[in-house]
Amino acid sequence: MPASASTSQLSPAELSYLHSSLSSHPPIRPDARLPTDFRPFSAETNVLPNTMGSAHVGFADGREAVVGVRAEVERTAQVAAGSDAREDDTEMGDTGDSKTERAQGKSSWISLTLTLPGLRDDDPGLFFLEEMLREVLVVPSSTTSTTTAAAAGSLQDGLVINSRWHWRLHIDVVLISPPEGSAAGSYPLPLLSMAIHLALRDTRIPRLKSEGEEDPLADDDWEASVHLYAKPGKSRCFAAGVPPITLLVMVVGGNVVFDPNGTELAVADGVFAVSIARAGSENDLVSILAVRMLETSARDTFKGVPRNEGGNEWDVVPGVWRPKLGGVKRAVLTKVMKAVLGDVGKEIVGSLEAFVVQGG
Amino acid sequence: MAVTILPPLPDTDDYLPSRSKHYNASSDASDSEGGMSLDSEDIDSRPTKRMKIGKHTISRREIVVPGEPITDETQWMRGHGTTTNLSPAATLITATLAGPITPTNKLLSVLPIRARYTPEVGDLVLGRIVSVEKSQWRVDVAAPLLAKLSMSSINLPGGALRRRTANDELQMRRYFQEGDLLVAEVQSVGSMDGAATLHARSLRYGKLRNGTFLAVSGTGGGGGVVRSRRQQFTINTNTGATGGGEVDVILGVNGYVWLSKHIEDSTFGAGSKDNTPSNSKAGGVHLGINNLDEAVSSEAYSSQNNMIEEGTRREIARLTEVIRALAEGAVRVDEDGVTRGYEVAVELGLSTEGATVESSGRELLDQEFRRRVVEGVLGG
Repeated sequence: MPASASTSQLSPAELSYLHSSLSSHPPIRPDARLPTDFRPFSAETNVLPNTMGSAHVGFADGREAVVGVRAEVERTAQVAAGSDAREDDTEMGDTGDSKTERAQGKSSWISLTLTLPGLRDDDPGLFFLEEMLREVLVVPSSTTSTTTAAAAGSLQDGLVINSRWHWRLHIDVVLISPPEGSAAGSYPLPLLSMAIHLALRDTRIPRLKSEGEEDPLADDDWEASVHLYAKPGKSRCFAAGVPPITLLVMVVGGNVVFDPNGTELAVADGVFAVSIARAGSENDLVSILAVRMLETSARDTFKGVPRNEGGNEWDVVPGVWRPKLGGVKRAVLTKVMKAVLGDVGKEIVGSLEAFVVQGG
Repeated sequence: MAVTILPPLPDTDDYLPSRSKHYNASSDASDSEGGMSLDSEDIDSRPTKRMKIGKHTISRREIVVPGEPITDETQWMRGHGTTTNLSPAATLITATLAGPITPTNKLLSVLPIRARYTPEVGDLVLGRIVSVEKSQWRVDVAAPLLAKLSMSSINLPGGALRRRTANDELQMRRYFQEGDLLVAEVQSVGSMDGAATLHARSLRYGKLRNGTFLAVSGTGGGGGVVRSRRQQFTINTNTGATGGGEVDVILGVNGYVWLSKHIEDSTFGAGSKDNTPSNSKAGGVHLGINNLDEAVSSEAYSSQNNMIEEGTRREIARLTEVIRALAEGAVRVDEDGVTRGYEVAVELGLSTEGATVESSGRELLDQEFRRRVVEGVLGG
């Protein structure tokens, strides 16, 4: 297998062509998509028999992600000094502050494991991706919009059973991709994020027979289980709202391009991973949970060779590729945020919602 | 709609992509054979026929995996993708590739579902430079091994008969650097390992500019490029919604495809525009062995793109998607297919959408649209 199979290095002429195509108004994408178009993907949920929720998402280029979610009951580590006082408070029937304090979960109760082909399991990029996908799941409820639902706001708070026990959530993601081809070098973030979203929407936690401070005892009846995230028409759930979705957004020549593929990413001026979630119960409001900037591979490319070699090395010659230097302006970042909060974010949340309502 | 969520593909024991099965079902069986390769023709026309090989019957669509015994009857001969060496008596035929069994009279061979390109002398290939070594380049041509392009098999600026100096060796990245795409011919194939040696000693070979690259999968049951057809041709895209002028297409035998703007240059014949500068000093002068050096100036190795209009870029993007749709539909790519597919795509684009600049091309992602392009190529 040649080493080139994994490297998707493009020639300076290709980079220059791509960059000017994507910079024109409106941008011309190599696969003739609109800038806000996402690649179509196929999805199904509830595919793995031994999980509490699972999803299978596939792109047309052959990449597929399978996600399984399992929950287990775990003993909560007691805080030596504080726990007594807290328990006393609850026993006294104080419904105020102490109650909400007791219901605070820890973000470490949710773990996410990725398996990507061709990457060692101690690869730093893998940890970065895992954490990027996990951290938005555990955003504290105060920062998400106020929810009027009776259930706990954020996911980890909903996992608390009582002061001694809690649920622990394991999310396992496997990416399957063809050994080579056009998919090489493409950042799998949108695919993984969609798959995790759909798996979490599908996840159900067994109903507990035990009550209050008793040791947890699960109900055998799977039909009685409770959805992790609220489903339309069902009142009981562990967490309000919907799981967040992380979008990959690219900026090139002042254009904002959604869901870039591997070749498009090679000429990006800036790449952002923007996590969005539905704000409140309506579909038409989207809030941004997290934004991360990713390194663009346009920096480490060779520069093109101009026709006339006599010129100054730093002259800008049209049609000759120059590696990207410097960062992204604030105004560009604003543009990205506006684009995400605009129609695109709503449409994505809306179409995922429609899928869950129909098929899930 | 920004995002389209499709239902999962149905379970199928068919080795072909489901899309191709779909068009087989909907179109006339005899029609669907048209664009298929010769090897898979009989598989497709009789999908349900079972054949008797040895003790058990095998569906023609069933695939064997490497190491799977096929038959021990002596009436069968082993063909490509099979071996008899695994059994002591050398009678048991075992598969060495994964794919459907293809019998030709008494010869049993296995047609791989997907295989890398096997270089053969004289093939026109596209390659990407992987590394620069001492007086040679290593080129990825989608073969199992990297191909070799030595310093002495390219035209150096300053004349074909010029001696290669130590200075040239120091400046090898001026000619080709890592990642550069080039079109070349397979000069020889190694007798031991099958590694190809390329040469680019012709004005029609050399560095690629002004366009975009795509790879259709290698040889085998799926897509790929048809051998021994015209591989460099020009498509007039003025019929498209945006009027893109002429687009050059190079179909490498190895499944690499290059689409670029056609640069008008009266000096050279059709399909030879790719390594010649548009503003060549030799413009208009008849080119012979005596003034070859004038054409092969250092400009031949520049990576500066010409000015390309948006219309051309759009039509190149449309052509890219047409070729990709053909490859995904398990249709082998050749000149006729690309031309017809493009015509179908333009027609469909004009009829379905308002043919505005905004909408042109976006329908290409649609599965139904792709299916119709493939159908149009096979049926028309």
